[in-house]
Order: sequence, then structure tokens, then C-alpha cells
Amino acid sequence: MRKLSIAIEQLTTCGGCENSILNLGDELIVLLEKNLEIVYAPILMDSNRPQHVDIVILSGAVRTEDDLKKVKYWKGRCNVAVAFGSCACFGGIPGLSNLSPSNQLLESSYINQIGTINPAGSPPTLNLPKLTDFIKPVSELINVDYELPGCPPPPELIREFFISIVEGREFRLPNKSVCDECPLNTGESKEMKSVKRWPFGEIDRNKCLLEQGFICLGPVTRGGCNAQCIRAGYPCRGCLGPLDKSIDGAAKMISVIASSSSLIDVSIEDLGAIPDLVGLFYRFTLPISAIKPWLWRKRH
Amino acid sequence: MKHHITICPVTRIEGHAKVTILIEENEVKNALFQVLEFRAFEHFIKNRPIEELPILVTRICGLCSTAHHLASIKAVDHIFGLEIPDEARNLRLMLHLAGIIHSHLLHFFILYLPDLMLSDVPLQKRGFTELLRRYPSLIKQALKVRIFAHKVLEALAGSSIHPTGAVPGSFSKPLEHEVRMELLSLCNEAQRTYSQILNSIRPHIERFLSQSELNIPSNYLALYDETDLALYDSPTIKAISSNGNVIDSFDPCNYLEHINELVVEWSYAKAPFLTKLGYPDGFYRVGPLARINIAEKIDSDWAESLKVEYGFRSGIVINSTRHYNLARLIEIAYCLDKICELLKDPSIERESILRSVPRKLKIVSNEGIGIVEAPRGTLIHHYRVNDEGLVTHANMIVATVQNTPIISRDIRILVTKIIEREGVNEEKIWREVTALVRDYDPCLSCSVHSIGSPLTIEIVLSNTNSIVRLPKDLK
Repeated sequence: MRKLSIAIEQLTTCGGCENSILNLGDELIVLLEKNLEIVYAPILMDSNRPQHVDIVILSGAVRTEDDLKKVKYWKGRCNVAVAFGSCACFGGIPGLSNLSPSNQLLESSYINQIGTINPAGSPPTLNLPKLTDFIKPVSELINVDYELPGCPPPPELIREFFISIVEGREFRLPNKSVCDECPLNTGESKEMKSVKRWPFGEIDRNKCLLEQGFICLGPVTRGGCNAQCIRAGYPCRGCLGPLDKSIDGAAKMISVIASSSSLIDVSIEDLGAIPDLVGLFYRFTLPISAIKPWLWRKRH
Repeated sequence: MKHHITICPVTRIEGHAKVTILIEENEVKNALFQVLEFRAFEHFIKNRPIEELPILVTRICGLCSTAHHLASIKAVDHIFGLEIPDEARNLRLMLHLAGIIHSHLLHFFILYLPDLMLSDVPLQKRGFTELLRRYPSLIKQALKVRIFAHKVLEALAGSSIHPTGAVPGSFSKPLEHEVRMELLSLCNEAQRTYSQILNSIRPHIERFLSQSELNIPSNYLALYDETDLALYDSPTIKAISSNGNVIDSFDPCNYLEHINELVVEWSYAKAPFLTKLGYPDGFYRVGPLARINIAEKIDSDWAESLKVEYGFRSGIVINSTRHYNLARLIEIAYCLDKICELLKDPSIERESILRSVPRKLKIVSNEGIGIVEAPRGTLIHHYRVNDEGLVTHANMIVATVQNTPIISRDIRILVTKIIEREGVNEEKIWREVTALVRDYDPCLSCSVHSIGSPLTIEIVLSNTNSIVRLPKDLK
């Protein structure tokens, strides 16, 4: 059987997605020996962009004009396009920079920065790709056949994705929440009696974090990660993004909090005591959030 | 005659960069290593709760996320005025060492090895796939050791990429007894496998050591401890010159008085320099080579014997960039030995580990600085917060950014030598310049925590106005 050709195109990314593919170890080697051929991946090899591939994996968010060119290059040059990782799917953590115009982003690093000397008094520009106005997920620029979210995508999902592809099966993301996989979930309805900033307070490592008053995005976040952060003792921060048919993770989370607490236990003021609700509820998804039109209007 | 050379993208490195070289009358007028990415972490982490930063900033880099996680948590501890119990400190240290192994193995055996072992292979085939075809058992062994590091990271912190282990004042959970014993046996196995790997690449290393080298005198900077290789915590940062003289030695918390950063118009990466020497004299190298050059003693017999085998002599500074790769191999051995030692100590199983986490949010200092040696060099996280614990200012100086001005200088010297020898040979320039850049294992996502992409070399022949891009790329 002919091997399927794969290209890995990195946009603005941290490299974690590519690294997570290598973490498959032996399984990756078996796939490469039998079914898959990586033909383009600047992080791994010296070859040039091919004219056509079976599968293109797009990792990272669209942040610069170079990223725009790269995504557009693959239009009509692949059979399957995959948005790989939360930056490609939703904009990811760097998507939080959509709250500020790009000149402010540059000023914070190159002008108003301690210990920094800037003789020209302006950010660098010479032959450098310009920043786009907003960080965008790749699906806004190209038709994406599959989305594989996660920061980085969990190993189980990556494995299942590649196996489905080589077996010619349709790949589907699990439509269950992180709570469904969480060892702290007793199945009983949750009761929130307070709201606290993690990790300040008495922590019971064997009890649901939400019930202890710590915000955990497990109920509104897609599973597939086996609740790895919670198992490691941390609340979920929502990296796999919203579940199918959920329009906005933050709205859903507010409704979860409302329904698991009575007004006597937790008030709007209590929730207001949690600083930075945007950075907490939209940590990985601001560029696809329901408040996107508002951000856009604010800027223009 | 003028030549203007651009290499874009530079492959087998993390992130996006470009090399531009201007040649006039067979003389290199300028060489620039341009970093093309910017992600604005220093801006968008402002106004966010300080305790969330250790998991937010991991996303600066997917190759050394543990180092960012730990530098950040150290700064956070500082702000809350917290003392760390020994067992939590040891778990953090183990996390750090495993992160270094994970990163170094990726660089040496996947990104760099084609330069050492596939130099006869044409460009289109040079890379991981061909490596796997020619040296399957070696690559499988290297991945096996890497999977060991991955398992340590997963057991301690949920994931090997973007970990969530350290919490203010402590570590999120102890290591269970069974897990500790299993990791210990895997560690012994990883040590054996790694030792076999080193034996099988020995002839390649010997050939490489016998080849003539580009030695460019440089300054070096790293954390320093008189008794051991300092990777995680140490009260001193030391800077030495190319002949080993101490240029500067200071408390990491005073870094602002000793290191400045210069904004250059042609790169998203700034150019840090030693304040004492100014720029360009004060540019310096960081990373494995700097650490091995600066450390007087390494507390691992295995690492010490590798040092001797690879030509490092105490008191003598090695200035060849190729030795960055060998220094990486030494550090992997050191990290394996140390992890083994840490795993033997049952105190990391203690359930009481969370007792040092503060019950109430209380800001003790409005400023916190956390510094570790990341796989690619000294990493500085510096935050200021208001009384609610929200970030008002953040400054991060990451490893790769400190090497970028030196990389530009090295490229200029290297290309000058090539031209003296054989004129403007573009293929040769491309091959040697990219290999030089790769010696440093630059991580460009990191260097600009900021914007990211592959390295490019562009050659503009100004007499014909033609631009040769190597390798051929998007027009």
C-alpha cells in the first residue's frame, strides 16, 4: 500500500504540537515504517514545500503576514487539512493578545521594558513579517477537515487520529467533558459553596475542585485528555475547548456555576472577586469567543 | 561586486528565522540572524493573577516548557515570600532535569544528527525520515530514553509538554511509592540504553573531533555553583571571558544591574549584553557549552568522564560551537544520574507536601524574580504585581535571545572564512551556516516569547539583481 504523504506546517507556535507527535515514540516509528511518510516539516528536515500532499498538519495560530501566506499556500494542495492543537483550532493562549492592538504589544517588549535600550525608539521592522490585527484560528482561512484541539493534543487523541487516517476511517473527537474522565467526579450533582482563587485555601486532593470553590473548567471542556491536569493536582483550564454544539465555553461555565450554587452561597459579587474572568474562561479560546465581535468593534 | 545572501527558512530548529548576509568585494559587510516571530507574552500576561502565570507562560515554548514553568514558580514564590520544603524542591528539580533530557535528546538525535551522520545525503532527503531508515536501532534507542524522560514528566506533572506540577510554595502532589519504584527501574534502564547509544556514536564523534574547528573567542554566562553543575538553583550567576577570566559574578536577583538588552531594528529578538562591557563587546553565549565551560566540578562521575573524552579540560575554555552538541550529551548523562539519585529518596512520597502552600493570598513583595538554567541557557522571569496579586509588569530574558547577537557574529566570521577559501559558494554557505545555527539549538518561539517560524537564508546577487533563496521557498 502506498504511504500517505504528510506535511507539517508551523505557523506561530511554541513547538509543543510537533513535540507531542514525537512523543508517540515507537508507535510513530511503526506508522512511519508502514503507513506514513513525512515529506515536509522544517522542524525535522531540510526539504522544500511540495506541490501536493495527502495530509497537511497546520499547527500554531495565524499571527503574522507570513502565517497568512503559508496557510493560503495549502489551498487546493492537500486532500486533508488538519488544524492541530488549540492555537490552530481556537487561537490558543497567545489569542489573549487580541485584547490589545498590535502596536501596544510591541511597545511592551521593545519600548516600555525595563533593562531594554532602544536607540531608534521604535519596535523592530526591517524586513520582518508584520503582525496581523488579530490572532486567528486557521479555520478562518482554509477549509479544515479535522480539528485536533489540546495544548498540546493529548497522546491518545493523536494516536487515534493517525490510526483512523491510515485505516481510512472517519476520525471523531470524543464528545464527553473532562468531568466524565475525572477521578474526582462522584457522579452526584455538584454544590458550590464559595468561590476562591486557586490554590489559596485548604485543598482536599480527593474531592471535586469546584465543590471546594476552585474554578475548574472540567464541566464545559472537551475530554480526551483523561483529566491529566486534575490527576496532577491542578484544576482544568480548558485547553481542549468547548464541546460539540456549545457556542461559548464561558457562557456555559457561568451557567454551571449558577446551577451548582444557590444565591445564598455564591453571589455575583463573589464571582467578581475572581480577577481576570476573561483570562480564566477564555484562556485558550478568546479568538473564537462570543465576545469576538465586541473586541473587533472596540478596535475599529 | 555585491552579494546579498538570505537563508530562509533555516530548517531543523524550533521556530522561524532568516539569515541575511551582505557581501561586497568578497568581504562580508554584515550578517544578520533575524528572528521572525513575536507573540507578546510580556504584554498579555499583564493584569492576570500571578498564581496563574506558571501554567500560562509554559506556552512560551513547547520544547522547554518545564524550564519556563519553574522559573515562573520561583518568581511567584518570591512574591508570596515562601520557603520550599526539601521534598517539593527535589520534585521540582527532577521535573527540570527530565525536561532537559527531553529537550536535549530531541535536538541531538533528531534535529542535529543529520549534520553529523547524513552529510552525504541530498538536501531533499536530509532529515528524520532518512535518519530512521539508515540508523533505525540508534534512533529507536534515543527515543526510548526520551520516552523515559516523558514518563517522569507525566508522572510528576500530568504532561511532558506544558506541565502543571509546581504550585506556590510546593509541588501539587507527592510521588506514589509504586510510581517511584517503577521510574527508578526505568531510570536504570535508560542509563544503560544511553550508555549503549554513546558507544555506538563514538566513531562519529571521534571523526568530528579530528576535524578542524571554527573557534571564535566568546564570553559565557551561566548559573554557577562551586561544587556542581548548577541547573536549577544557585546564588550566583557568573560571566567569564574566552580565556576563563571572571568578567562578572552576581546575585541572580540583581540581573538588571548586570545585563541590558538592546533593541535591533532587524529582528524581533533583542540583543542582551553584559552591562560592564557594553555592546558589542559584552555579547555572550549561554547554554550547555557555557555551563560546561563555567562549571568547575560536576557531581557525576559519568558526566566527568565524558567531559574528558570530548576534550574538555578544567580551567580551559572551549570556544568551538560544535562542542555545544557534546556538552548536551554530557548534560544528558548528568541529568540521568541525578534523577536516579532523587528517585532513591523516599521523602518525595510524603503526603504532607501541600502544607507549605499558603492558605491565604498575601503579597509579601511586589516584585519576584525566578532564574533557572533552561536547556538552551539562562532563563529569567521577572514580574511586578499590585496588592491584589495582579501582574503590572513582566520582563523575560530567555536563553536563545542571549545567543542571537553572537550567532550573527559567528555567521559573519564563518562566511568570511568560506569566501577566503573558495569564493562565494552558495551551496556551501547554506550548508555551513545552517549547521552553525543548529549548533546553538536556537528556539525561536522562546527567543521572542514573541512571534515564531523556520530559519531562512537569502542570497541577493546585486550585480544581477537576482535573489537566490536557499532552500527554494514561497515567492
